[in-house]
Amino acid sequence: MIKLTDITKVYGKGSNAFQALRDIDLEIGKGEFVAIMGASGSGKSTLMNILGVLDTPTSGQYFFNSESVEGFRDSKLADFRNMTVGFVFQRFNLLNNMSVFENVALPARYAGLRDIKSKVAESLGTVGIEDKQKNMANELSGGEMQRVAMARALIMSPSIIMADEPTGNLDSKTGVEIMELIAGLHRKGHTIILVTHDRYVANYADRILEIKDGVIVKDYERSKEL
Amino acid sequence: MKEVKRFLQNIRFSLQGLGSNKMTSFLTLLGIVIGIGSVIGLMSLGQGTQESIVSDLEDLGTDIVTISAGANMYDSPVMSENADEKDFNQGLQEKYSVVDESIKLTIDDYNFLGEEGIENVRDVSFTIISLQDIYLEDEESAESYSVVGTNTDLFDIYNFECESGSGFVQADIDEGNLVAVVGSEVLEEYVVGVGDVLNIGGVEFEVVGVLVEQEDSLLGSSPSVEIYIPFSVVDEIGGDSDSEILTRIILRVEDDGVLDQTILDIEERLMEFRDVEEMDFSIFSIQTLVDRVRSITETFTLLLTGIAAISLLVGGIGISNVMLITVSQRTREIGIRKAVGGRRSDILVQFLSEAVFLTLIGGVVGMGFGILIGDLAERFLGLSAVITLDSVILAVGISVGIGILFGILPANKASRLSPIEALRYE
Repeated sequence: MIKLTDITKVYGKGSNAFQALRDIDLEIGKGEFVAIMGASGSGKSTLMNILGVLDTPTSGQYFFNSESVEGFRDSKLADFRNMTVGFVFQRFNLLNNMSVFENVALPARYAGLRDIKSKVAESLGTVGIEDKQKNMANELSGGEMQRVAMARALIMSPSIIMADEPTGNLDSKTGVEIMELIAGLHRKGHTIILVTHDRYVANYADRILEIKDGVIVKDYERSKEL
Repeated sequence: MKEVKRFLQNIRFSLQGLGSNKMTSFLTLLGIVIGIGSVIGLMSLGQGTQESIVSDLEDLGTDIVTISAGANMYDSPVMSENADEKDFNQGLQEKYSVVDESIKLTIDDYNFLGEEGIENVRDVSFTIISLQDIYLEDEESAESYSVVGTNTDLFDIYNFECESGSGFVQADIDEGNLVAVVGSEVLEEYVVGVGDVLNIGGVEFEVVGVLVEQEDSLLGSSPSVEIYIPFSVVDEIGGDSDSEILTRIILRVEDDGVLDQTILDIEERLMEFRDVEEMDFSIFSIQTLVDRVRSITETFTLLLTGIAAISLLVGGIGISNVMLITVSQRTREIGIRKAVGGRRSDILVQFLSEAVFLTLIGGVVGMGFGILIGDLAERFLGLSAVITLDSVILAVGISVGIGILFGILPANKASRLSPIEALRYE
């Protein structure tokens, strides 16, 4: 499904250049639950951003279903983020001055879907907060915000869910609830790519990639490691 | 179809954006409202003033042509050389005393024009004007008034009507009767009526008619303060008046649409008759004045509009500035929109639409503000204001144009943000 070859990412130029990723080769199959683990600044979020086409690599090849992403125009990249990937961020990234309904509906509006009301209700139902539709996003608790973000990620039924430190801003109890939801999505067939620094959170995944200084240093099945 | 739907969706996002940033939107609007309001208000005042002056002038009769002796007063040596020292009236007075005294309009010129049958000329009359001391019989204090010697055609040309009595008749001219028709404001405090005897320059005239009150003329004289007598008796009153020497010849044309050609015909024929190579008389028509006033007021309106347009420009720059700040403030929003599927074109349309909506709303509200300015100026300053469709379309069009022009830079900046950089923005 996903294949990266020799991916590098360099930020800045000249003496200020910083190499965030070095010669990454990676394949992720359909339906996998992959955790990318590493310390702060290791390059794990950069890798996820490239996988989600939020960012572009400095060099290397990214193939999605054998098609090179490099040649995608802006509109095709946008459609990829809209239909193929659903993002969940540590900081939730909701539009605070809009309602829960409008936040969840946003990808569907860009896609021009019909019957948005029932799709929003279904997504919010999946994450258990269908009664909050009319609330403004900034009126919610952290756990509720992350559920709204998950509902937004789900509304287009994407094949891949990418979550960057989804429990990072939550208390441990709410964090567990969110991870259970993500694990549930995996069971329903979604491919999950999870970025975390937390071993406990990473253990929800089937496959763990450990990354250090922009290089994947370990790639293993969780069950085998344990 | 899908793209149209997407476009409309982005318009909807832009309205949501404006709604959720009310204070910013309001302050931006204010600049445009003031700019458009000033443009429409000042244009309407300029237009209103023009129409008011032109209408006043046209009331004097655009079908009337006046010929007087000497070159045009605007070209006279007195007016040009001493313009900075003497005011207009002084210059005018001196002109008539300084110009070549030998140049005169005579009764022969009048007879020629009357008999020549120039195309489009309907009536011809003339005036012999002198300033005379006037007093009522039995009263001693005298006042000075213009006494106009003329024939009966003048009453037709100017449509004079009498509130009492009537104008003098051809028999009065033929028999040299000492009769007078007076303006309604002549010797106002004594209330001159038909049958009264007026002493004009030492000669007693019987009042046979009093004119209906006339509005003041913009040309500085008014029939209300003039006295009309048969030209045949002009020689009998004191002063320099001579029944052969005319102050003006007055003509009325059939169709004022071809006035220019008629004036050219008159010029040509009269020069031929007077046997001169250069014009030694001047021809004046209200229409000429109307054209000149139009040209002056149009320039004036343009100037006012230009000044107001500067405030509109400032408003436009304000929009650009606010939109740039908005893009910075909403960088994260742009990142989120891109992360969930917003294309570069979606962001461009959304932010550009916000600028256009601001200026469109500003244009419409500003139009109301401009109408209000005109209305207040009319009510409290006595100015006249006319709103034309042209000025409304122009102002709102310019406003929306400014929205596009000044909105494109920030909108383009927003659309080009990388999604991840926008999401990282603090």
